[in-house]
Amino acid sequence: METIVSLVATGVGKLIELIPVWVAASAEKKAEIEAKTRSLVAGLDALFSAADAKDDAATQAARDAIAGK
Amino acid sequence: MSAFKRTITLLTLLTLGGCGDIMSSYYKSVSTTAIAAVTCRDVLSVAHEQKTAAVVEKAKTDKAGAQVDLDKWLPTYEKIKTTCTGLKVGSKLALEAAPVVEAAISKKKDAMGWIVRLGKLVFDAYATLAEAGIKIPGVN
Repeated sequence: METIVSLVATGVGKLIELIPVWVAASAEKKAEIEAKTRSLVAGLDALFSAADAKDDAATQAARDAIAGK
Repeated sequence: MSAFKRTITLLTLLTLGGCGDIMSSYYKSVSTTAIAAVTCRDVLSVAHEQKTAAVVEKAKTDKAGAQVDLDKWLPTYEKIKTTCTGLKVGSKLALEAAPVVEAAISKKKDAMGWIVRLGKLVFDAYATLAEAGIKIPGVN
């Protein structure tokens, strides 16, 4: 019984020691994910504007062809 | 596997992958939506390029027919464009809401609500693209 209690206590002690490591790893990972997400979302407007410009030019080219220009 | 099932699987993996930290899952779902927005806009642009090139080609011999083709395509183009913009706006709004979600007492519930909403946006976008007969590379 004494051995079991000792093992459990040691196990609990090890787990408690690990908690700061888990928290640190999680926070670091979260910061990385957040930064990547922000970078991705920040680039959306430029990407959409470029696509709009390209598509508008293609539409105009089609209209010009129909008009015989 | 259908696009719907693939997306469900992807979102589930992304969500469950960060069970330990709900905000990581939240940011992952925002990223997924942003990537879906980029894919949606890219696929639309490629489709538009092909359609307008076909119109230009047809206009060489049949201007009236080319006009009909263009008039038929443009409303579909606008509809898909609105969907893609919806994804973009959705991901931006979700990102802006992140501090509020994180600070909220019931943040888990709020974050899950956003994840579900973003997931629905992605499903709707794929459905709109599929309805227009546009294939998404790697999805369908």
